[in-house]
Amino acid sequence: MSEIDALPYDAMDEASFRAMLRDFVEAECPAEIRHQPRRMRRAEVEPWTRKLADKGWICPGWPAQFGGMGLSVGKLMAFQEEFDRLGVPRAPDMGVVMLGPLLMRFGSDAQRARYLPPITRAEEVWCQGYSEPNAGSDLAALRTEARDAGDHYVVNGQKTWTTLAQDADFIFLLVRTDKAAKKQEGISFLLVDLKTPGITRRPIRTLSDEEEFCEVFFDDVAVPKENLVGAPNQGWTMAKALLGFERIFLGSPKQSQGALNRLEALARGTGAFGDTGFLDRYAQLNLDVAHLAQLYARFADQVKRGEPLGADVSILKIFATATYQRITELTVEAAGEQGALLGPAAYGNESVDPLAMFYLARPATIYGGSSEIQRGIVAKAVLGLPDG
Amino acid sequence: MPEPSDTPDDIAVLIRESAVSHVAAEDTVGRARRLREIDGHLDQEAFIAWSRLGWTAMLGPAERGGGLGLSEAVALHEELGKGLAGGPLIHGAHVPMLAAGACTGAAASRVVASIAEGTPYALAFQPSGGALESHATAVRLQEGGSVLRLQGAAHYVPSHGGHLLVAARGPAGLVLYHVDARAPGLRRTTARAADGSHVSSLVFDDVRVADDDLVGRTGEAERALDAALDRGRIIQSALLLGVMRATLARTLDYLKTRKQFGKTIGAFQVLQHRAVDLYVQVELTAAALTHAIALADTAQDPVLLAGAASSAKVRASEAALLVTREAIQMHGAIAYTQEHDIGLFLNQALTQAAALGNAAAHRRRYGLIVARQIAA
Ligand SMILES: Cc1cc2nc3c(=O)[nH]c(=O)nc-3n(C[C@H](O)[C@H](O)[C@H](O)COP(=O)(O)OP(=O)(O)OC[C@H]3O[C@@H](n4cnc5c(N)ncnc54)[C@H](O)[C@@H]3O)c2cc1C
Repeated sequence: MSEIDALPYDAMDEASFRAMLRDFVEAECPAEIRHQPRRMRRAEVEPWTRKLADKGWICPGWPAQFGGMGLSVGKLMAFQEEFDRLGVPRAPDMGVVMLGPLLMRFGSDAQRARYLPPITRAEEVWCQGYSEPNAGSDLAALRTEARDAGDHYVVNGQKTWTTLAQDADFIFLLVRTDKAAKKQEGISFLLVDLKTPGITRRPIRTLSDEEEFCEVFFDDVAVPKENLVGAPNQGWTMAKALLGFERIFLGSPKQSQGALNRLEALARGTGAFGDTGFLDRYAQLNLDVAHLAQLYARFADQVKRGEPLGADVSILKIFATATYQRITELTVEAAGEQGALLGPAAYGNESVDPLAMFYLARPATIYGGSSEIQRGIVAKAVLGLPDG
Repeated sequence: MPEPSDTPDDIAVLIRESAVSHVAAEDTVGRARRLREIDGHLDQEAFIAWSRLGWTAMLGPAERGGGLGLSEAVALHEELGKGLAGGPLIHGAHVPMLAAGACTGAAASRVVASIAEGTPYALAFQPSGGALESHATAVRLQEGGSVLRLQGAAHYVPSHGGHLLVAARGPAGLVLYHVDARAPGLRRTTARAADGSHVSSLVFDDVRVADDDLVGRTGEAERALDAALDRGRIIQSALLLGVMRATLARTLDYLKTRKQFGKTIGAFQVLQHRAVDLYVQVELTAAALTHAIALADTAQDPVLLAGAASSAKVRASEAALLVTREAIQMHGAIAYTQEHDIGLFLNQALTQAAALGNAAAHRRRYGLIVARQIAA
């Protein structure tokens, strides 16, 4: 995709931009994969991502020079909102959302030339190898090691909870390169081809009964030196520097809105709106979602004005995920005895799967910085409370 | 089984001890995992084992090896709940036994004997979710000359093999029939619950029954059924108490061993406070349960029993779901996997919280009972 082709998006007014996205999704994105209450696998979304790739729409937030749509932040937010509203499935996007921006900022020209184009064509899929069995919230405690062996590194260790690693071609790793340095200072950022000998992936089945993430084992894995991004021992700083305005998406009201929509379908089907006990609980959640969306809009405006986000953006994720979970809990409760049965049930002419919703909502308060960690950040960085 | 000379408290202690060894010896948590992962079909062996231990008979008449009360059943199920066992025992033996044991129809003593020997039965009465009492049944008994037929549907029936106890509305009131699950005209669709067990919807399309199949007569059946259901809910609350006690214990162990930021995570005050809040809920459940047992053992008034059962079930369901949800949160990603046992406890809590009426249904009933008392 050339720079010239990308320009028209910014020239478009927002309404026609949204209409263009909507028309394309309605025409090309199959109904079976939209509004799905689960994370889709690569093969399931492949036909759709091909179409997006042909359009040049895999990387909406990337500058046109790297093959992105070159959208302004405002248009990017509109893109995201429109896709969420239409229930477009999320394709494996670690390369798009995390690795791409990091390489643009810290990568070498050779790395950008090698890795960015296949991401924009959805040909190479990446996964994020940060967490380890003993390094979760305390990520800087990671121990997977990359030993300097002259012209290459030798990687040994284990990553875990790596989302859809079994579907990925590459993994970007935080690895320890200096064991003597302070925790954060001995960490480097490494790009690894998952076909390299010595790598084993073991999918892990979740409570939702999906193989959503993997353990990834590294046993004397040889990685060329040119796969190091930035300088040695700068991995932590680079990974943290990247936590930019994307953080707002973790607090988006979309999961809550989607769940509320299912709860409403169920309640229409059972007649629960006639039950004042239910109505009271429902109304509170409806208000919570509405107010969340209004708070989100305030942060979104800040982003659209080009202002950086502060630590206070964490309050979105704290409330969004708690609200999302409470909606799924009420859905299970409103389903009565059916709420403990596996699989979808018909409510009127709609289908709702309360247990699937409930399971899927559980980890939202764990990944992307747990709610406890987020509260700690807000308490200190925003409210100015002292360290414990 | 305990000797008749034992005092009730001793019996409860003995039963508790045998439940503890049953959970350990049979690896009931591992069994719950297989039930969830492979096939939740009830294993008949478990019922035979429970029968040998005297547990299927304990709430039946004394001359059939029963004669024990709620205190003993509650002690048993608190321990079984810790091992994720006991659900089928409640739904397949205790509730049907309590119902049949209080009835005098031609089939009543046959059913009692058969449950005591380890044959599971399933009670069918719910026309839809949230129906708590037997009078709601949507199965009708139709008399055509000398032939009796059942017509209608019942939902959320535990799939416990071949024997059903069906609450039906007859010309003069509610009756209870023993029906073979393979009877012509009976259609069954089965779903799986969160814990892997099977739950059925039944459609009765001219299912023939005989006088000989009558368990509960008009006049006695409704009261027997409702009392059995409410006692069953109190026992179910004990099972949920066991589930939450075990979940909290496992979570506390994890908080004491998992290290992040150079500390055991149990040292973080926020997690300490949350653990205390869970402990408060566990103890509230235990207290509500003790109170419910006392009321149920003495109450002649079905409304008192209903209030006691709903009170226990509301607290136990809410608390068990809270404790298991929070357990997942405090474990982090590892608890979101099927390999980790905490998910099995969550699934047990979900299953038992919903069966026989969830917290919302019991809050509603409790609220109506209290409102009537206040108005009177
Ligand atoms: C569905 C899912 C997908 C994921 N995908 C990926 C991925 O693709 N790549 C990747 O690298 N990682 C991934 N993760 C891992 C995720 O980043 C970690 O789960 C997260 O960092 C928490 O770590 P942990 O699970 O080890 O929990 P722990 O850090 O062990 O936390 C356990 C509990 O202690 C609490 N706690 C920890 N520290 C504190 C503190 N200081 N104060 C108060 N409470 C505290 C936590 O909030 C939590 O409740 C994923 C996780 C999930 C659930």
